[in-house]
Amino acid sequence: MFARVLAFLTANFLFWPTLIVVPMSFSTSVSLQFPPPGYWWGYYSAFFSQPNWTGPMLNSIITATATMVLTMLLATPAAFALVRLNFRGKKLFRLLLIMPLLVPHIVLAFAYYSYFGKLGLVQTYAAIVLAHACIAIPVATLILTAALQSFDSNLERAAASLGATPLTTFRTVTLPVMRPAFLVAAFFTFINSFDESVIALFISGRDTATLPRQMFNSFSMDADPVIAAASSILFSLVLAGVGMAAAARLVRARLAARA
Amino acid sequence: MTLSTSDPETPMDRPILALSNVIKRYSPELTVVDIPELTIRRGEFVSFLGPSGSGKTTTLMMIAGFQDLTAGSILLNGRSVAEVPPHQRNIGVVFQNYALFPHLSVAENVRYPLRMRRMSRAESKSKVAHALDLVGLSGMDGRYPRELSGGQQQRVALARTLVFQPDLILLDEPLGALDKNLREHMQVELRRIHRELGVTMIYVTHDQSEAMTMSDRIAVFDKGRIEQIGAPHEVYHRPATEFVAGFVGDSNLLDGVVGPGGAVSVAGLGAIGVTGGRPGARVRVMMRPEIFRLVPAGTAPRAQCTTVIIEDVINYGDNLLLLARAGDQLLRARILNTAGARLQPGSSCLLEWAPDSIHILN
Repeated sequence: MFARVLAFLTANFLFWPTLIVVPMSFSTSVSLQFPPPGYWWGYYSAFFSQPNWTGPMLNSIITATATMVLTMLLATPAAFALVRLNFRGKKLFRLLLIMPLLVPHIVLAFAYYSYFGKLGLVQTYAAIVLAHACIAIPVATLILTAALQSFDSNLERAAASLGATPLTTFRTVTLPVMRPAFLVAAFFTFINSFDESVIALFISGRDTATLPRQMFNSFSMDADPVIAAASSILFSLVLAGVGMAAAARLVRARLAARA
Repeated sequence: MTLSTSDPETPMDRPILALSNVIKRYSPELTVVDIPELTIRRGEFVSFLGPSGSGKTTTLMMIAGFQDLTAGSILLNGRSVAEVPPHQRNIGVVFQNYALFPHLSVAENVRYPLRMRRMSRAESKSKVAHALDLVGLSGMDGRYPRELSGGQQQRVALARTLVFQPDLILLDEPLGALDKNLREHMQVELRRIHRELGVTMIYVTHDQSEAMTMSDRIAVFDKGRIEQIGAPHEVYHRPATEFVAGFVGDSNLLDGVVGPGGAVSVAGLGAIGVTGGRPGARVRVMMRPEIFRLVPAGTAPRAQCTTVIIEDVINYGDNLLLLARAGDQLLRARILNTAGARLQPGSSCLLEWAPDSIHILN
């Protein structure tokens, strides 16, 4: 009983503060204020029409998508190598992959700023994508290695014995069976990049500013309530992503039960 | 589905599989497989029997191409498969855990090898139906593996292998995960399928009774070597080594001495009624527990018999296992559990045996 009450309180404590931005986003107030004096849609239309918000939104989608693609291309072979192969320096390789997860983002941001500065990459999409891929690769690799460890490699042997080339085996067996893990890894990678603010603050320029950077700027300069609308939109996107996965699982369970 | 006999490339008398000097080492000290020679004829059902870690599965995986050889060669249809990757060997493999593709339906699983051979959907349809019919799973086409019982899943795995008519089917403890009744049922089914199709099968098992009931020949593995290969009755009655005698079936392994006339005698039993070896030589004598018979009280014993003190009686229902002592010799004797066989520990009785069932090990 006590444990349940505690769990309930904890869940509420974690959940409700994130929701405070939702009523504020519909506020008529010209500054961030709670509770709101009145309600309207104004800040949402501002978010979707003002270039200083639509630009970063688009930038965020571009960089998050590119980061997701690059990360999956690198994390997939890395995960296979870590699970399937034995090679010299494997432990070191694993540690190196996890490093970005342990190093504070501000340290990483500073390092990337100096390094990309030398290469003349600062304020480009490439810089943000490379930096975001670095912090997303550990996450994606961890998800994929966990899934791969429980993957039955006899499935691949069976496919081979039935006449499938290694590539066909990957396409027709490994990939479909591992699909949930790939989707989860891709989703986390996308969100990871989409949400990231510290590195983006350092290395994204005016033209390549991402949404979190724009929100930070706006917050520190004029506390424009549009950021409440932006926050609500980000929040509902994440909820939608999680909800979609849950809904898909529910539908599949229903279909399986009927069959 | 019958084997083609007209193909001049593969005459029927040529062995379908030949291993020579096959060695698998994980390190210089650790040799897991060492097979100087093994030949398997077309249409044979051969079991690889042995305890876990005896190298039987490793040998199977090398034949399938999933493991490299340290040395030696494997010939399939007379051709070396050293450079042939698994997907080009045309060898079917059935795994203990079935290894069905969870995202594909039963029919799609069975169609998979045909898809890999670029067979049209229409053409493969009848083959899939035929294969499912063969394993008794007609009408299960649309089911998914997770909706099937273990026995049904293994039938799907078998159908998936049979459907592309491989030269050779390797079965890695395929019934190991099934319960006893289902296992016995599947053994009969497998034999029937083997008989109907005439396909060559290699069957890995650690269950000696399974190997006995199913095989044309049994290869007994121990510590990476084949201790003996032969027909079940050969392996059972004429084991080549003590390991085989002990692993296949139950046995009494006794020390014997060859007398001046060549007659072998065993402490506690006296002359056992067989000859063999040079006079004075020490031999190992194998007597299966079931060669003993209880001499009913009041009847005359045959020539070879001995009086024993019963130490324990274990009732298996259809038979009784007697743990009996003849002098210093402890014997295991298996007798029919007839109504007359009322035996108490501590009592004595007369046991006789058939000398022609005794085997002398070298």
